Amino acid sequence: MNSVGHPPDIFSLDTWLASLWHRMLVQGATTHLLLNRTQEHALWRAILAADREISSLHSADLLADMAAQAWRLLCDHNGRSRLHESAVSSDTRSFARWAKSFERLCTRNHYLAPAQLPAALEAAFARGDAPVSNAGLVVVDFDAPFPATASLLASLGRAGFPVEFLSTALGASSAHLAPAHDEPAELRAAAHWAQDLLARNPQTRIAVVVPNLGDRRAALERTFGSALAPSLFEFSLGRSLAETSLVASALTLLRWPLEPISFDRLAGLLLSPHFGSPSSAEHAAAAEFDVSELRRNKALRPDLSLHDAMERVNQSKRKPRLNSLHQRLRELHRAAALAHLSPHSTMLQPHAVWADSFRTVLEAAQWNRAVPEDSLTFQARRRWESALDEFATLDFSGARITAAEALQTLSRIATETIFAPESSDAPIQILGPLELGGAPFDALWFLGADENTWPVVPAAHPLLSWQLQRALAMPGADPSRASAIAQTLTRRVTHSAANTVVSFARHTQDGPNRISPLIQSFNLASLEHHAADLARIPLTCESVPDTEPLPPLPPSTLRGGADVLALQSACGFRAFAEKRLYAGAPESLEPGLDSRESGNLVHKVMQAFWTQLHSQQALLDLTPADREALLGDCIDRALNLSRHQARSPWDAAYLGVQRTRLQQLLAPWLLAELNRPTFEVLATEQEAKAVTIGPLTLNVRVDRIDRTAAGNLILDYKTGSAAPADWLSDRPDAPQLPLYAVLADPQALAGVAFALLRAGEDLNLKGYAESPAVFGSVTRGMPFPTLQEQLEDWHRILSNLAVAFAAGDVAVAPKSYPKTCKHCDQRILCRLNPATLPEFGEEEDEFLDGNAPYIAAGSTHA
Amino acid sequence: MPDLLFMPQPPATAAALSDAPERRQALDITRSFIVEAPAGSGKTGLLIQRFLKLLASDTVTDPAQVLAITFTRKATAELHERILAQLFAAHHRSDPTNDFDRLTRTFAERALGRDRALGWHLLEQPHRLNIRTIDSLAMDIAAGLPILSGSGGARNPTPDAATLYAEAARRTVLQLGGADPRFNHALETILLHRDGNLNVCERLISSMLATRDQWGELIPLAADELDEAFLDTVVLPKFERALELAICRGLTRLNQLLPPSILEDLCALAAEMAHAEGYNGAPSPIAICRDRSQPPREKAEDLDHWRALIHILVKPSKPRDWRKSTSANYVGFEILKHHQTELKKIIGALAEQPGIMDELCRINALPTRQLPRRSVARHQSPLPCPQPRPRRTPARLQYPRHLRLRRTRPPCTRRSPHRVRTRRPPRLRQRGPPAPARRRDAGHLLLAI
Repeated sequence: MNSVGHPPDIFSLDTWLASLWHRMLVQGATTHLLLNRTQEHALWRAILAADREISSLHSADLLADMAAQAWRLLCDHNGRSRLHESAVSSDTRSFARWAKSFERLCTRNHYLAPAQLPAALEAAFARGDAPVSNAGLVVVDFDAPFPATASLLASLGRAGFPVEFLSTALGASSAHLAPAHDEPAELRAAAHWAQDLLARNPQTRIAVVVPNLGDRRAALERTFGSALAPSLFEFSLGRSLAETSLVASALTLLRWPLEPISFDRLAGLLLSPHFGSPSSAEHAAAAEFDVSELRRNKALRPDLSLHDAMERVNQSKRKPRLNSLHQRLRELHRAAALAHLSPHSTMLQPHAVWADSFRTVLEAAQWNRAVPEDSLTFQARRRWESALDEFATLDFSGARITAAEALQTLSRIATETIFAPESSDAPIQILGPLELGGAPFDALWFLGADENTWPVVPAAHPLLSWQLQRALAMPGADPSRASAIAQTLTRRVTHSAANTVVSFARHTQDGPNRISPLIQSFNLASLEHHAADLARIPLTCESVPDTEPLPPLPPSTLRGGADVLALQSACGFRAFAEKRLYAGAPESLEPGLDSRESGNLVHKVMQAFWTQLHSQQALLDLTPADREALLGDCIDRALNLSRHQARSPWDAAYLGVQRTRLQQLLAPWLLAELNRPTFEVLATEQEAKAVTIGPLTLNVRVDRIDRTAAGNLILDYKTGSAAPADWLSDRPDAPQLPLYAVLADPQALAGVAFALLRAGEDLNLKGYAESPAVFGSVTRGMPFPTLQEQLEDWHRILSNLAVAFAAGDVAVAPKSYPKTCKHCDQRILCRLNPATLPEFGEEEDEFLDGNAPYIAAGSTHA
Repeated sequence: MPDLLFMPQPPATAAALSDAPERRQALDITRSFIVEAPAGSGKTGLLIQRFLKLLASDTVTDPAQVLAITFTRKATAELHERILAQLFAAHHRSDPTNDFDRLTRTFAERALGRDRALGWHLLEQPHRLNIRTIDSLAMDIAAGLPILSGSGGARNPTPDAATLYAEAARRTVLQLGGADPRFNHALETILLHRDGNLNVCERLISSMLATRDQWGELIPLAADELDEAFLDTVVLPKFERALELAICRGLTRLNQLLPPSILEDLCALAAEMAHAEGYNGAPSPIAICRDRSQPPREKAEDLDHWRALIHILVKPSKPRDWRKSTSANYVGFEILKHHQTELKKIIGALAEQPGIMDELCRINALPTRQLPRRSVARHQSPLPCPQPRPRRTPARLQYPRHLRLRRTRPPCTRRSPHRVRTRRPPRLRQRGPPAPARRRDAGHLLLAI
């Protein structure tokens, strides 16, 4: 059929039809432009946008796609002429109206929708215009061609062109049925079967056919991944181009000049191998910058504009290591501004100009500079280039758009474009039933042959009237035709390989499941399951001697000195990991102030207030109005003192709310201070440097010290829950106040108390004092009758904690699981296995016996 | 009105004989029925028979014209399975083993005859049986009318929308400082109501979105319905009626569990004990019982009386349990020796009743009947937020805790197992004549609840 030396041209149907049309265009046989998918979508979208009856609809893109589908269906079934008479409901009438506009638009502008291609070619062929090669045509595996295609092929045949139909399906196969108990068992059986075949002959080509591949992909990936090397199997399904890391980074870079991006996306961009040169040193610096600077000093809103990001990099203490990043951001900013890619730009430009601008901007930002480019990146970049070209073809209608619109359209194209990397010829191909045609396989497993999954029942198209669909024998409206198609397809699937297994799960989460009646009609013999479960590889353990010395004690200059003791008290491992290994999770990225920041604000307001007044008498001397005014003043100062600067109306409004909140919380608090026994404020936020407790040297900061008639009172502001019970036991939850107390002058000290500044609670002091002159009440329930004895006990307890920390006592022994572990970032390191704990909520003595169970910890007793 | 066959769930044996006429009547496919019967009385069986009988009817030309709706996918699968099993049994001519199967067999055979005559191939294409969940039906209607329904095409609903609610809540709070001053004011109110905590507000908004089917009917969302007059005259009374209804339902449930003689004894005892002074000079927590020796009614205005009685029986701290100690500092008043003995006897008798403790705790969690009018008017935004921790509220808005409003279903679909105390035969209620079957639309509807 082909001349010597000229191999046959092999095309998919659509490509062949399009190539014929393009040849006609070149030969001048037609002037009609064959629309691509994006162009057709743009036309439908424009028509829909002009339809006033659907103006309230938000999903014009979705509807435009549906309209294009309906048009395709109509053309494939040669039903265009019958559309108008058949439209009876409001939905079908709408579509008929749109279709009329579409046809008019196409005729006027000489466009041709791809769906109309077979009919147009048939007409051209009848005129003698169609350049069909007379070398002949072999049609392979056309199980159920659409009427329009069938009609074109028939007319070719009638005119004497040699058209031959070939089917690659095998005549016979030995198919077996393998019912499984449930879906996971079904997947395991398939994976095991494939593993077994490959073990016997590594050259075996295996197909795993899955009707609902999209839904089961994740489960398949898990099951096959646990049994087989990743290079042994691959999925035929592609993913959205916009989801590939290459294109995702490109779209983020292009969007950034227009609007701030979230910290999460920013982190992704900073670490992307496609942004800047993929040197590990640079990425390490960028990662540090993200975790230690951006997140710790986040703005009120968790997003960042390009301009602010440049500023932050510029001020970074890591700037010498971030030079390249800074330069890239600057270049991105400059190129974007030149290309009119800026937030307030209203510049209207053709698509092709935007496409060029996008390329230039990405180039300037040093996007995708990896050398050499790996195969996947190369393929993704090619696809991205063709997406940009597709975007540029939208100039066919002469529209001009803004930067934001251009980016939105491009994003849509990238999202709609399916990127399926070329097959790496893995021996196991996992594919959908429709993709099977023509591919030769030695063995085939058909998963999910139950009545609910197979056959896939086609649905009628909602934009075409049911009568029309029925009259045209469209599968969705004609059960007998749908059933015929399903039967053919089932036969193809079960006869594509000599060794075929069909399986289904007897039980799903919705109840019992039957075999598909279609499969049942084949009367397949049952396959004996030789192994229900995959062989598990036994783990071999390796011993690694841990001879590293203990990491050094933290320097006393570290902030939050007393935290060490609180952490040691909660869990030895946690203290060690946080304060000696400096392990910590990146800060979360919620909008607004976090609880620590809002607590700090309260401290700052109170500090400012008492720095001005010094004593209760001074407070008494103020009129209520003056008091409110002074408080307001202090709040303003604290809010300004805080590093947040109002970047946006949102920031301003949020800070306004915080101002009111502080006023509502602290005004009643001042009344509570007025009702206390007389006091003077000796110190606020006083730092004590290099104090020692046991073997540790710490820097601590005391919130406030008051002088009362009975002696000094140390106060700790608490905006969360707190109670004097937190000072008790050998593992106190809040050892800060006991620490300050044992460090204070024992002669002058008369009491310690939490100042509870908690919204909605009683605003008062709770603590320990022997005399009511200290803060109005005497605490009951403390274990020792005098403060002196209590102080001695605290000194003992705190010294023990300090000794344990210094000695590297790293036992994973949470004080009370799960409360202690709830907000702990070290769970990933400590490997605590709650199952080994005696009982949740048991008495804490269980842990103090020294036999707390843990499964992993270094042997770090020096 | 299409045929409607209503069935709540569940047992059938001896009682079946007594309701045979009703069962026969319910198989008259020219009329519509609501069937109410206790669990296990064979409602699903009745539905299956009716379904098969409808398939064989002359008016049905496509099996999809007979629609059976359930509320869960599991129920759908079961119904589908049982109907198919009957068709297969008829196809294979297996021997029916009981009366139900014998009767059903005749319907199944006729349905198969119809299947052969019209070429439905139900046994090969069982998906043509139109049995589905109400959600899938609703989705199909929306997808089938993309423009009219506003759905814009087939959607893929997520079973767990929590992340979407969280996203919506996030976007809402990020509107703060926007151009609309009224909206700003509303956001500020909510934020301050929650101690300026964005995170808590987001959680609150997203949890409210998740339950919007419960409060959406009561709380106006349209801008013109948010003025004070409308809130005071329309929303508030409606809201309070709903609260009252919720209270009455809770009280009814409890009352049905309480043996009347014990309740009478308890009320008489409480009336006597209420004369004692409260502990340490405080008013007695059960003072309200003083002149009420008669049991309280299932009315919202008697809620305080109920709660006082519960106070005598159950200790207020968690975990909730029967009172063991009757000393004054726990109970809040002095109890005389002989009263103590009597109380212990009552508690002992009640503790034997299953489920009663749960109901008692539920009464304590019921909302109060009346909202403070001023707060609603002042803040313009009467969000009835279920507040997990109302203590943290610094602002003056006080809303009832633990408010759970169930959407009132139409009477025919309300599930009311508690109302049926003894087994009764299915009760039939007649509906209007069936609508003529239309083309592809379901002409017959069977609803299983």
